[in-house]
Amino acid sequence: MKTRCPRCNQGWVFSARIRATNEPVFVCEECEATWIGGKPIAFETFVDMSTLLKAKGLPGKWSDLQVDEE
Amino acid sequence: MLVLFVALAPQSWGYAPECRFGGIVSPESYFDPVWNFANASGYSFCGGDPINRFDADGRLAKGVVGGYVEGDFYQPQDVAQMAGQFVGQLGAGLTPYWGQAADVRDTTAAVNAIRNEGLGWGTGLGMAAAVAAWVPGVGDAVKGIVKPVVRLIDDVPAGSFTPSSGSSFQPITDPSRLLPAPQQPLALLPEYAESLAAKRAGTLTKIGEDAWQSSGGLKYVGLDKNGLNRIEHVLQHVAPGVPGKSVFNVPRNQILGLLDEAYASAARVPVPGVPAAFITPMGRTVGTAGENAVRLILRPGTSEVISAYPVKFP
Repeated sequence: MKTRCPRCNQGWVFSARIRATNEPVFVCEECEATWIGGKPIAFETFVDMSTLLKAKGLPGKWSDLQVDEE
Repeated sequence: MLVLFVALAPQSWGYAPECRFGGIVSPESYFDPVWNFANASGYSFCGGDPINRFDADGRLAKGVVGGYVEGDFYQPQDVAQMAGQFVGQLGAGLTPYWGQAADVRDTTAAVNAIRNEGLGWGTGLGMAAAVAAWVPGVGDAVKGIVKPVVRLIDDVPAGSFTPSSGSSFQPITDPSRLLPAPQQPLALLPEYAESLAAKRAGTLTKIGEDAWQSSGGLKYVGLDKNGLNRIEHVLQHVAPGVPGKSVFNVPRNQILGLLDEAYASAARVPVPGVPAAFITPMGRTVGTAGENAVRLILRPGTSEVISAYPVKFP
């Protein structure tokens, strides 16, 4: 079941994996708010997608992610 | 006397140090067609001070000091400095001891000019002027008038004056020196600058692959989840729009300009608790559902747009 993004209230949150580490994440397709480590999808708990990926030494693009089947 | 000249120059002659490098005057001419020599800075002589219009750049004062100290050996670069040299030499001639020393120096120079160039009417007049200068006051004034006239007349044949003859005027042989000096960029009136900025708002410059920068400084870099570039991503908020997303009420060709306006606005405020997210109240309706503000979401620490859409505020 898709979840509305609590940060922007504009996009949907998708399930994905970081290709390099296989870590599961949830990402908003509109504002790139990201939840990792099993944190609840809430306004207070998101991180910026590119910031998270760059911290892992990745380019910080959508291509760093493998989006699960919608 | 020298100290007196230097001390008085800034006040009594309207000397304005802040105007020495041209002040607010635009350089219109690099060449003086009347006097046939280059205007060294490209600025008009008195144009730097539109109020007093007198020796705004200190050339006259410089000529006075030069004339007082160096006499005939001072090389004026323009009419103002030449006039100053006249005054300075007159002052030197009235100064005990210094005046006599200057007369010896200038007479020696006149003798050397005759030796180097032969006796002609120019060098002869120069010698006569140097001799006349031995008479304090009047003689110095006569020399101060005669010498520049001799120089100007004798300057007609190009190159007829050389430094050894004591001339300060060099023939202009480089045609590029006759060209107008580069124009200074004009300062725009604030209201016109704002108008111009508004017209240019939203103009894009490509800065890389799938990367553009708007004239307002916002960058649109990379692709979204669906492979749309960031401009296309933002344009999903233009009519007819995408279900579930708020929609701007302006045409798509005005969206980037609107975002530039929101980004540049002094009213833009950060969204509490959300890094790199901002809301700008626009003071008018910008969304189809009555939204009156723009929300910008940027990549943290950059001006790269992730998303932008209309919202209601407060």
